[in-house]
Amino acid sequence: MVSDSDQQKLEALSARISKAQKEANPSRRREGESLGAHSSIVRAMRIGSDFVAMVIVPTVLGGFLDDQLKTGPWIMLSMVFVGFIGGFYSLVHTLDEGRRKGQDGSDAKKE
Amino acid sequence: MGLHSPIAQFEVHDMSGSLFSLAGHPITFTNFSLACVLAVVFGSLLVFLPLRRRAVVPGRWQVFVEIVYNAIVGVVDEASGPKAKPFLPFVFTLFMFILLCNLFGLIPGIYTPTSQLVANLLLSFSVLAVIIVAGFWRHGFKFLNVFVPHGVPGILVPFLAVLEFVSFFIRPFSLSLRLFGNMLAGHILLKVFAAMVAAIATSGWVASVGVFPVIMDVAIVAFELFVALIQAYVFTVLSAVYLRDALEMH
Repeated sequence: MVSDSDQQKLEALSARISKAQKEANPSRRREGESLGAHSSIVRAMRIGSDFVAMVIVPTVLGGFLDDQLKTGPWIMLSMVFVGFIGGFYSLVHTLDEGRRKGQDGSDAKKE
Repeated sequence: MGLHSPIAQFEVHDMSGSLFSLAGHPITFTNFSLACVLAVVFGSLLVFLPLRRRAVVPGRWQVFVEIVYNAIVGVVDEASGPKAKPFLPFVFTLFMFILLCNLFGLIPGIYTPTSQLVANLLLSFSVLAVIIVAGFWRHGFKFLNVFVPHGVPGILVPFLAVLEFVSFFIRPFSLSLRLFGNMLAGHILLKVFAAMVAAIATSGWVASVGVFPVIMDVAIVAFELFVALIQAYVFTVLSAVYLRDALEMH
């Protein structure tokens, strides 16, 4: 025999489960489907331009500061160095992100 | 610039004279403005006219608009997550504007607004502004945690936080440089091959060889249509991805 309070608890649990399923399904679809060929193209485009921008922008900024402060090539050279470090950091970061999402996607497919 | 200079097409010409003055600068209507206005007017008509009737059994144009809209809904849902729904109109407008500017640029005589770095920077800085406002609106000052890397040794955190900070503000430059580079290179290539056709066609007996650059130019136009679409898509997807970073943090 199920009491009224138990019945209410069961209904509340059922509502929570269906809500959780609704929330879980779009995310599974997101990991499994979206990160296919399309996201690979986007990531490939992102890697190149991120690296170029990370080097060019600090270099131009350094050149401008050198002009203003009359400090020769030093700020620009240091900014080139910082730009390369930032470029490689961003490269590794994006690739790592892609690798992790790729793993998530394959896990979702296995399920 | 000579007649066949491949970069003459990127010159901005005044079409109206000074309309009014703003902070001492004359405001004029240029070929750049015309292309932007065309993109906005055509984009608005393309979206609003077919949806005016909202038929249950849609016509061709309504199907087309619904496909484009659903594609962008999919991009925002997949790249930014469900929390980004309020930003859908912004992302959709961004996609349509960039796509139409790219496509209008392929029509001879019409300027390509996205081949100007400053125009792309304006678009990408508007994305950055939306991201920053959305981040602070959603998380308050905890949004600044977006610059703190996770899962790294404590001694590296200050250095990596600086790099994260720099790379965050480099994003608009990266977005705009990519679009600018693709549009600029494509249009220069088109003009170079077109100039080659003209040069060969007027060079006596070798004129028949001129068919090869014509074939090449047609192929490049087809490729540029693809580039126009893919660059608008990449700009939109990356904007949505950056938006997710701000809304969901790490």
